[in-house]
Amino acid sequence: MPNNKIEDILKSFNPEKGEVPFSLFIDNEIYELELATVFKKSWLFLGFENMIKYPGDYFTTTMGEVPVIVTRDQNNQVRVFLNFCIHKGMKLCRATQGNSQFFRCPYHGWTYSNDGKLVGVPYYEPAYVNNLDIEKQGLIAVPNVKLYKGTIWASLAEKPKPFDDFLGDMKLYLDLIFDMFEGNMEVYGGIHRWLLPVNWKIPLENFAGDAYHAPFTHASAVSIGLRGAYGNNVRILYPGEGHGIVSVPGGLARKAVDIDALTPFRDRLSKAVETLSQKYGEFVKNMFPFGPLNVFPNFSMHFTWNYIIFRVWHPRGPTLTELQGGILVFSDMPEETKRQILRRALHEFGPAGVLEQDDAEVWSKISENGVSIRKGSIDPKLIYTRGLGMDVEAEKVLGKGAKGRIGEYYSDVSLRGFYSTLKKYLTGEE
Amino acid sequence: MSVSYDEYMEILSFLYKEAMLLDDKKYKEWLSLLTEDFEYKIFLVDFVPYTNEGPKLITILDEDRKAMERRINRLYTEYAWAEDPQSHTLRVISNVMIESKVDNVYNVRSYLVLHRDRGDLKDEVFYAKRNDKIVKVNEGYKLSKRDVIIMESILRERNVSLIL
Repeated sequence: MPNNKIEDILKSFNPEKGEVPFSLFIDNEIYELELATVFKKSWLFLGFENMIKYPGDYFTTTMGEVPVIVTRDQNNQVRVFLNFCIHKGMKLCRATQGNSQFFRCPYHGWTYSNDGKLVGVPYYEPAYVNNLDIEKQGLIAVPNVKLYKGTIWASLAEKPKPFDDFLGDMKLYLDLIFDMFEGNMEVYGGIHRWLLPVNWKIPLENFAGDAYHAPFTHASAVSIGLRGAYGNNVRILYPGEGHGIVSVPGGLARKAVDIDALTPFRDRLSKAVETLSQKYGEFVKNMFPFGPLNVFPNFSMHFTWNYIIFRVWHPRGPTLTELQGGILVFSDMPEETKRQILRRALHEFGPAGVLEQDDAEVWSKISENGVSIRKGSIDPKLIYTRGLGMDVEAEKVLGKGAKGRIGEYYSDVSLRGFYSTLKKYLTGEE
Repeated sequence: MSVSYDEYMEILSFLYKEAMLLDDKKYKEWLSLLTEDFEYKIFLVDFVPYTNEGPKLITILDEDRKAMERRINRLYTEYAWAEDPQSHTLRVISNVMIESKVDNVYNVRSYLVLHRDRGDLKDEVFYAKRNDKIVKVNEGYKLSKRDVIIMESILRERNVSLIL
């Protein structure tokens, strides 16, 4: 039965026509299929190298729901292991971060060095001496790890698509941000964790391509003078491969209040526009800093004149997502500038942010509604047809060097791309 | 440091009154209890190995008076969806201790249990520790600094659209 159900849902899932069944955000069968395909095969963003600066530093996170430890071993190599003691399956490392040369299981004391080797087994002699080849045992390593310009990525697939192919033309846009940091990228103020009662795909739409919600969900930001009016200079950019960008070129946030202390940050950005447009093309001037983006499947950033934030939408159930978010600063900036960036970002984003608290209200009520509607075996098709067939080559709008397709601010072009890519995973094409 | 019974009762009354104003949604009156240099921070606690330095705090809000005013003004717009329709809240303030008093400035610790109803079946209760700086002025007391530590490493409430 469940398989027929999935087939029926996938039949009504036609993202290229702008048709996305509501069940995609509610049903457990779809959710489990996503974990087994999207989160198993795709490359996933894990964190920033700066989070594990020194040998022994580690943090824990998940790939889909799979718990992993990300650590820098004593030889300075970044390694990713399942957070799993091979003896009896205990969650080896329960803290979110720390520094340790060894991981010791609290159950029977099996101990691993941070390069994954099993180095201690209580009563090895005489109990295991002929029954356990300790040299060949160790933590289960995640098969593919990629370090890219200060970021850490991994894939649970044995043979994932090459990382560059996975990023596709999104690489160009990520490079603009990562190159700007010139190796000085720092996560500042910690990673906040927030359990959202919503399917993981819904919140990321705001970053991947839904500029259309801002004038309504965030109308209060204009009323209280936090922002000028929402301009129509916003564009939706689809670089391919399921990624997405909301391009908010320049002006919008410049009118914002409380910005004096942000001058050193803004100066850095202005300088970067010059060097990056020389390196990558004139288009950089027309879209810098370019606003929200999402890297397929679940890594989002928001890049503005005031701050750079990131979000990872970790799936925790069909209608449950653990947001892990934080703020990126230039590590060589004065402490006071870093704090001002942090406070400005948190004024808007995060659980108490005046923008994201309203998003969270919307998200929670979509789920509440959705669960009830699906109980009636009703599966309406949601409407992703905005600007269908109206997008053009990005270069025509943004200028020389830009890649991908681009639509007006109301366009769903990148969301159709996201769901088309998702469908490929769900149907086994990817 | 010595604090008289009367002073303790006055501080306690101040905290109760302030909580009541928030529960009754008299936000502008509540604003009048803040000093001009008011600072307000909210933290989560990270889940990390024990150290002598105490819990590792994760900042989720860092506001000054101006930002706080914007936050309050927002609640009077037609678009503060997170609190419209309005939440029903009930704040319990307890374990109030005056930790120190220097001149007219009191450092006060308290616990906050805050229940919120948003018209659905999700149970939302915030449990938080607070460190306040309360200043005695001519017309009574004012709040000049508040650090709130929500005792959760993963925030389980849908958002923090309330003042804690």
